[in-house]
Amino acid sequence: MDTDGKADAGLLERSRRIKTAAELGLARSSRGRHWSRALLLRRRLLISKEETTTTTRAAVEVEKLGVEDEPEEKMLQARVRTLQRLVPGGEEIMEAERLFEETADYIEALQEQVSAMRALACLLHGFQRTRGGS
Amino acid sequence: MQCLQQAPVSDLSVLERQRLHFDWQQQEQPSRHSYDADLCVRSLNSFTCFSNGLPDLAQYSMPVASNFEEAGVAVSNCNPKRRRAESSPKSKDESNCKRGKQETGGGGGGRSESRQQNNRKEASGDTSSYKNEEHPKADYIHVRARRGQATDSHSLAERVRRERISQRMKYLQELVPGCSKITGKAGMLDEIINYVQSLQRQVEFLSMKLAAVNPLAADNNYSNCSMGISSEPMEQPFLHFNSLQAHPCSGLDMYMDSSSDLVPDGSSFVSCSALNSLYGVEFQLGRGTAAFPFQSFQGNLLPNNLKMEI
Repeated sequence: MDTDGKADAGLLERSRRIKTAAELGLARSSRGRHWSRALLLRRRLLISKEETTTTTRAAVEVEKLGVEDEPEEKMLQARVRTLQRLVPGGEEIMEAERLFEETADYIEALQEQVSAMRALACLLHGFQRTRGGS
Repeated sequence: MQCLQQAPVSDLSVLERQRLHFDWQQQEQPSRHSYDADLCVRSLNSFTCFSNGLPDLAQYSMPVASNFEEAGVAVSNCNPKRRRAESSPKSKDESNCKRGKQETGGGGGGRSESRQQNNRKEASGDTSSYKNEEHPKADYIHVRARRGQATDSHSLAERVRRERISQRMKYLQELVPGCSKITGKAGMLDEIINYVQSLQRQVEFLSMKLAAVNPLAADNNYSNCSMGISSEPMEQPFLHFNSLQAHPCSGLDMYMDSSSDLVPDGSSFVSCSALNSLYGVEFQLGRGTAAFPFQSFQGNLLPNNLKMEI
């Protein structure tokens, strides 16, 4: 079972990740939000979370680039682009207004998800402690 | 305001904003207009948010403040005289209305200029125009002009769009903790981005934590935490393995595609069982056995678990 144990560790981690993303999309897809649909699509394609890391880099680059005219506009645009990449399906949203809507809903969903998972982890930790200690 | 009845839609929104900015304690409500008081209050709040922000914001927070060009061209439709009879805070509206009408009368001379140029000038001329309504500014674009439907519709739409964006930003400001003291779009966007990233990192971290917690508990008897139906899948992940392989995590309807990628893998059954177990636990928790904020998930988890247990 050693090999299974090692495989378990990696796969379990991945399963949790997938599971959480699944729950997120599950919880929100019933509302039919754009980002929830995009999240499900992303999960189907198994695109990992590397996008989040690349976005910040790209944003910084853009900021450095555009300093000539309207630096504020450029900075705003860079940030908006970063936000677009953070919110699933955000890159398909062209208008800032829609993007902010999706962002607000996504933030609310993430908050609920975090609180739910935190409670679950607490509960499981408590169970583990009671059972593991016995 | 009598003129509200005659002024066009864009005028009303602008007028309302100005009125609110001056007499916002009075909370005047627009009489019959699509932009209701909520929008006005929100746009007013966006004033406080962004009025000291970037110039491009100032242009939408005080869009027509500089249009007070009150200057002397008499306009026909707006009844400026009636407006003048009103109190001084309303003089803005008068001038606005007059301004708009001036466009109508005066031809599209300065209208072809770029909006940004106009916006910048508006931003710069904001304070001055606020105090002095007799402030001729001939080189401004009067977005509330009545003539030139094309320009008007663009300007109006632009303004409406900006108002909506400010509303959304306001809502986001309330959503993100610690954002209320940040003024300026860029700073707020930064905060929002940081918050979203932190939330995503928290989700990841908690998922790892749950992954660490669960397999350890899976060795023990799970009858405690799974109170009832789903106890079997958690207690006997290996027994569940066969059913899982037959129906690759069938309970996870839309996630079958991702789960099915795991099933062909030899050791994927553990992850599937972990998935099942977690869903089982969540399902049980969602049933109200513990006071957890799972209510929002209940409706969604129920059908899934029912499918799984079949």
